[in-house]
Parts: sequence; structure tokens; C-alpha cells
Amino acid sequence: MNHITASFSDPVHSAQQSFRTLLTAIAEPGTIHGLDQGMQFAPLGASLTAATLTLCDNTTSVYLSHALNQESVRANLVFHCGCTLVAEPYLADFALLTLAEFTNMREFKIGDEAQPQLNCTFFVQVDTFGQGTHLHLQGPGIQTTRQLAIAKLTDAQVAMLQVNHQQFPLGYDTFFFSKTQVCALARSTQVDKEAVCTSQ
Amino acid sequence: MNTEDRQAWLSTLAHSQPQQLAQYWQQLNLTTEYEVLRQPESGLAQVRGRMGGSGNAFNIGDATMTRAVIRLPSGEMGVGYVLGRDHDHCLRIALLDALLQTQHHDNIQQAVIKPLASARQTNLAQARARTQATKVDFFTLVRGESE
Repeated sequence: MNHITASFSDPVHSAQQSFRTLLTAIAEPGTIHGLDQGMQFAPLGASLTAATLTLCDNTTSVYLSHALNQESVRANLVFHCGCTLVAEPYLADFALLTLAEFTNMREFKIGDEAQPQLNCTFFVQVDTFGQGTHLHLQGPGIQTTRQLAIAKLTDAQVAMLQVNHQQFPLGYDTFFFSKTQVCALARSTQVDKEAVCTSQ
Repeated sequence: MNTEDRQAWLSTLAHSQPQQLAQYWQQLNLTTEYEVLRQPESGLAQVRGRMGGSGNAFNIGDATMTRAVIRLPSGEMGVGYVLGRDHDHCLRIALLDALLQTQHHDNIQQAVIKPLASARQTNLAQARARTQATKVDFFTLVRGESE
């Protein structure tokens, strides 16, 4: 019981602001937005906490990866969001993972051709943006091209994002959260390593 | 503290009149710090009923209610659920629920819960008596069609 921390101080406006930020992030893939409502359920960062409080409720089920599956997170999510915590990946509507655990998307539900929106959405906690391999993004919401760098994103994870794009309209949408920032990659976003696209 | 006791005092508090509870709270003269974990928020709860108390359950309608959760510095969490939209009343209930789990329990039981519970019993008894006075027993002496 003592793991529970206070939620948004101004529930309505904080949730609306967070929702607007998340909507903009997924509408313009690869852009980085500040998201910090001044509270967090450690080990979740402030931005990931705000997103979870905004999007998860009693109609969604949430999967917590091994590193994030701690009593402080579980107690707060159940108390403040009222969401169902699931242990099986294929039941989850939202999956909260650390970047190192973002290795196998296919364990999670992807929806079907008739209802491609019934996929699981990933919330991946990362260290920081702007470092590491530069990704080259194209697709809806991007005028020409856009660059994004996520620290410690591995080649295998880039390949996984590329496979994800190829199965469009099926696929997964992914939000990346640093401590106070958020950035999203939609399933419609084509991801290349910079070396590939500069070679023309 | 066991669950039944807590349910009993929460029920008493939830049925209390806001002015009366505020008055008892003032008389207690307790001041304590607390952290609001869930700000008072008003919403709807679906009320269900059974015809005659024994039929199939059906939905009567929605009732406005308010809930809040607070925590004392010592760690006890107090919850308040009450019909209506009185946020102060709801917070006061949550605070009393938390304090009832501390060493103030006996004091609050004596000064707040007992008088509230007996007032409620009196009100219920009066209402029952009022209703009982207008009760009509329908019975038939002779039905006539047997001739």
C-alpha cells in the first residue's frame, strides 16, 4: 500500500496535455516532444508515467516487462489507472518495456486484416535521444525525411522495426520515452539506417 | 483492525450528514498532515435493485457519487466514498478512515462513529414507524363467486 504515490495534481488538464503530446508524437513520427507532469512511478520515468496515466484505464490490459515489473509500478497502475496487468504478452493492449527487452514484437498481439487497430502498442523506456545510430525516417507525417537517434538501439532492433513496417497495415506502433521526452514510430514509418539512404 | 470493522465505520461515515460530520470533526480538534493520493472526483455509480427484494436484479439508474483517497505521514491510507458531490465531506471521510486506523481509533469511535451510528438508527426507526403507520393489510373475508 505504501508504494502508492500521488497521481496528476490537475487530473483533467494534465491528461489532456499529455494526450495532445502523444497524439502529436505519433502523428509526426520521429519528432521529440517534452512530456513531464512532475511525477513518476519509479522505475518508470516521468514521461512514461504520464503516458500510462493518460492512455491506460479499466478497459485496457497492460504488460510489464521483467525489469519494470516491480511492486511500485504494479500498485500504482492498478490504483490510478484501474488497468488489468497481464503476464501473457499476447493479451496486452500496452506493453511497457525497457529498450534492452524490446526484442520480440511477435509475442504480442497484432490484430487481423479486418481489425488492424487491435494491436499491442509498445511503450519503450530508453536512456536518451540524439545519441547512437542515426535512423532515417520516411512515411506519413514526414514531409521528406527525418532523422532520429536513440541511444543503445541495436541493429537487430532496427531490423525488427523494418520488418514491422513491411507488414503494413498490420504492425505495431511504438512510443519511446526518455526521462522527460517522448518520440514515436508508427507502423507506417519506414526506417532505414542512414548509411543505406545516403548511398543513393 | 479487521475488514468488517472498517466496513462498518465507512458505512456509518458514508451515511452521515455533511454538516453533522463537519461539526464532530471540529469538536475532535485533531490536526494532521496528509497527502491526497486521489483528489475528490465525482462520477456515477449504477444502482441495482430487485423487485420485492427477491426478484431478478435490474438496473434502476445511476447515482452521483464522490470518492477520494488520502495518506497520512505514518502510511495509513484512508478512502472516502459518498453519495453526492460534496468534495469536502468526502475528504473528511477519507481522513477519518485513515485516522481510525491509528492510535486515535478509540477516541474517534467514541466521539464520531458512535453518535453518528445511533443517529442513523434513530432516523431509520422513525422512518420505519412512519411507514408502518400507513400500512394497509389486504385480505378478503368472503369472495362471493363460490355461491
